[in-house]
Amino acid sequence: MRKKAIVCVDDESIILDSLGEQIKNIFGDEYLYESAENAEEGLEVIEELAHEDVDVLVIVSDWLMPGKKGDEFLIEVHKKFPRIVKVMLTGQADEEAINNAIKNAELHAYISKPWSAGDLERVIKTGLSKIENKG
Amino acid sequence: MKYKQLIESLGNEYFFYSHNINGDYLYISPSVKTILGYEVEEAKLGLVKHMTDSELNKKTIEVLKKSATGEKQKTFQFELYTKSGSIKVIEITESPLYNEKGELISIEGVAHDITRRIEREKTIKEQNEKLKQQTEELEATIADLKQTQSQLVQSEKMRALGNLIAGVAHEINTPIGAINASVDNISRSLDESMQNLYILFTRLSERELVVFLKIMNLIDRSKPALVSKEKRYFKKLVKEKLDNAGIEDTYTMTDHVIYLNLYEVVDQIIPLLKVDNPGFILKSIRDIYSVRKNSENIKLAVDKASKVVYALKKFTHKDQGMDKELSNLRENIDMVLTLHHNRIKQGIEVIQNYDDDIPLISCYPDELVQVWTNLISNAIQAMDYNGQLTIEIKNLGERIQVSIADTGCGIPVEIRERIFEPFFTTKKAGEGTGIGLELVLKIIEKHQGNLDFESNVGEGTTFIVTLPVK
Repeated sequence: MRKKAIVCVDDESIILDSLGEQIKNIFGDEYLYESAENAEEGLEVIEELAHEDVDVLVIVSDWLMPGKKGDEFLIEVHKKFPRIVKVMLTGQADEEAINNAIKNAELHAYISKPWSAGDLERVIKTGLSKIENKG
Repeated sequence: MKYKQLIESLGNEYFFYSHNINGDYLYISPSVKTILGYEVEEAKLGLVKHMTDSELNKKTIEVLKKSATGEKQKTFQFELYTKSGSIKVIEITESPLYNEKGELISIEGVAHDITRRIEREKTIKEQNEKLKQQTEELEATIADLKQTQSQLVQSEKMRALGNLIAGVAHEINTPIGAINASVDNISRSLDESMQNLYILFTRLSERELVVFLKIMNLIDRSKPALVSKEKRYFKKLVKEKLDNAGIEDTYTMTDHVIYLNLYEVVDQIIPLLKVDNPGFILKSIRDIYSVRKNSENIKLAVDKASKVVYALKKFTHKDQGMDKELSNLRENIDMVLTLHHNRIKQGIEVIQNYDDDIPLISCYPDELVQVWTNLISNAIQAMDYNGQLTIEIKNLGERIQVSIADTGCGIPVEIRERIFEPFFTTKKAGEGTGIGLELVLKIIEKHQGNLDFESNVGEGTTFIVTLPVK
């Protein structure tokens, strides 16, 4: 059976460490968890995983990062991997950016920092079920 | 009539007269025609009937009556209609003339046409009035401008603050989010650990317990956290080794090894994993270690949030007194960098070259914060959020030199002269008030410091501030 992965992108290691562990706690060993510190690295990770026959199902990305911003990153991901569920998790809500991501990257959900484990779980689960329904 | 000839020679402005005690004119000098337009004979019929009915003349008539009785009067003035109907102001000095017996025989008078002098005085008075009014208007305008200036300074401060607020929200929500998640993780790990304990105590063989303790001891707590790139590199390396060693479920096992910072001692770990339930052992250790790891994360997050709150507090701090205070320039500048962190991190590399022996300097620290805020903010914008920001602090003995260099667009030669002018801005409407640099200059002048800049179009700009230590 092919491995499945959830990828987190955030320039703050305190977020990547805590968020990664939290997602792992919620979803267990069924998924792999990878992280990246910026958009460029995020794309690298997704491509690398694809190369290793790992399916990335969900991306949780920050918006305000060095280099490319979250919305642009998710749009780029969407072009190459339209099936991946995209979630934005950020401390600063830029409405324009969110709308951009909704329109051009089929953004699944937007969660603002600080987030609750419940919200995160619900958002990722609904995202995953979307993929399953699509088959 | 001793001075008759003399008086008559002053014909343009003076005329002379005498009249007897009945008021009949005995003499009027011919210049009366030049001054008032009346022929001498006409004038002799009486000048009083040509008087205007002004307030001045009412008083003058009283004076004339007294004078006619031989009582010496001070010089007085009256206003007369000339023959052509214009009004002339005449100044009169009369003196009574007595005979040997002491009888009053006539009154002699010198009339001086002072119309032009009066007009000049009137004009001067009017001009003075006008000037006074203009001065008052100017003073009011200056007061208004001062008010406007202080409002602008405030709005410049608010704009700078506004720029920061959005960023600050992000800067604070990030650590709070991390703390929240870490606390969740700790709770869950403790729950798991408590469940694990029973199994650890009752089901594990002695050898497995030894393995448990050995692995615990191998954990290097001092190891710095890996960045994601390194993590991925070690993940691959560890997984390969575990795969080669024939260990099962290497994805999960690799994850545990990385989490526990055991990636460098993987060769020592592999033989220890040849037990019945290596996954459970690593997972149990992980649940214990998680408390530590998440606590450290919380500490990092708290530090980060405190730093932002501290910087924000400093930034909005109002001047309490007007006295200078000893202040640390490095902290002053680093605080501004902290507040601008979210704008800087997008694509700007910050290089800090600070001399080690920077003394405390006597200054107004809050105002200097505005200087750094403006200069750094301009640098970030000049680079369009991409490039290198080099901040140097040099100890020159009596003075400290701070330079802030960007690798931005540079300042075009034709506007270099104007950048310190108030309201000069190259930014879009609403982005800048155009008084940022003027404010910077004012603050530096207040510190008896200097502000210089070097700029090369397309290469960047360096602003150099020197401040006296004392």
